[in-house]
Amino acid sequence: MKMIRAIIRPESVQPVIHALEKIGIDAMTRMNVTGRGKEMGISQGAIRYTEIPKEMLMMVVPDYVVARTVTVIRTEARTSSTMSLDGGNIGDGKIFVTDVEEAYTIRTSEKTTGTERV
Amino acid sequence: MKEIIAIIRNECVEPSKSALESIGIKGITFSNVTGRGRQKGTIHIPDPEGTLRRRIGVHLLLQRGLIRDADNPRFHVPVEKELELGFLPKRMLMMVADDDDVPSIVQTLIRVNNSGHHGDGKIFICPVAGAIRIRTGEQGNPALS
Repeated sequence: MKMIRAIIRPESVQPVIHALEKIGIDAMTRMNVTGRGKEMGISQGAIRYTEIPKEMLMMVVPDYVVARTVTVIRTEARTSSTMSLDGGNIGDGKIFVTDVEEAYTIRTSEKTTGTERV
Repeated sequence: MKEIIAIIRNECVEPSKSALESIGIKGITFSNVTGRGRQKGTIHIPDPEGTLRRRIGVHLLLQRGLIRDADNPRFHVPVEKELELGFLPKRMLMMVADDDDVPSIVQTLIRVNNSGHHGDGKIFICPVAGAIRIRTGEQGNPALS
């Protein structure tokens, strides 16, 4: 089982969620975060913003769905660009994949490990 | 060392806190999140025609004072008018604990939060590579206690 944490633009949350629904991933947690990347924020004239509001989506999926989930999030969260053919802009976000050893459903006390659906 | 991430109901935070305190877990990080499970934050109820219709985000509507009576069929929102994609307010608890403490923490959280209804939440156990106490620079297990 893996935990996928995607930090994306707030405006791409809805398309990402709808696309994840289509591949059967309905369960997820959302949180408002602020952050910056290696560009250290953005400059608007003389003003520098070092923390930019983003939205974090967190979901736990079985190992065999990880690649597909990441592809779907990437496709939907990438904004179109006039600079390159394949699109993508600075600030589109990051996806982190980490290990989860066990998951419990509180309602049923059911334990999930390995390749089962959470 | 393991990280325990629990996503629970807002009203269960206080009982969970005191229950964890009684088994010696004091350091917890809380955050306000929204989330949904496999039911997509919806409640299924039969409508007068006998077909199933989804009632979406009723808790959210109640909380915001937009509706007063959750059972009134007038407020059953059709699927296409999903409010905020069915995400309901929840609380996320994060704590890092020694491997031996994990089963008792999980048992405590399940005991306190189990109401038998959908939406009770999930607990995830993740491996942690290290911990450092910023004040003293202690590393590993001494940084936890």
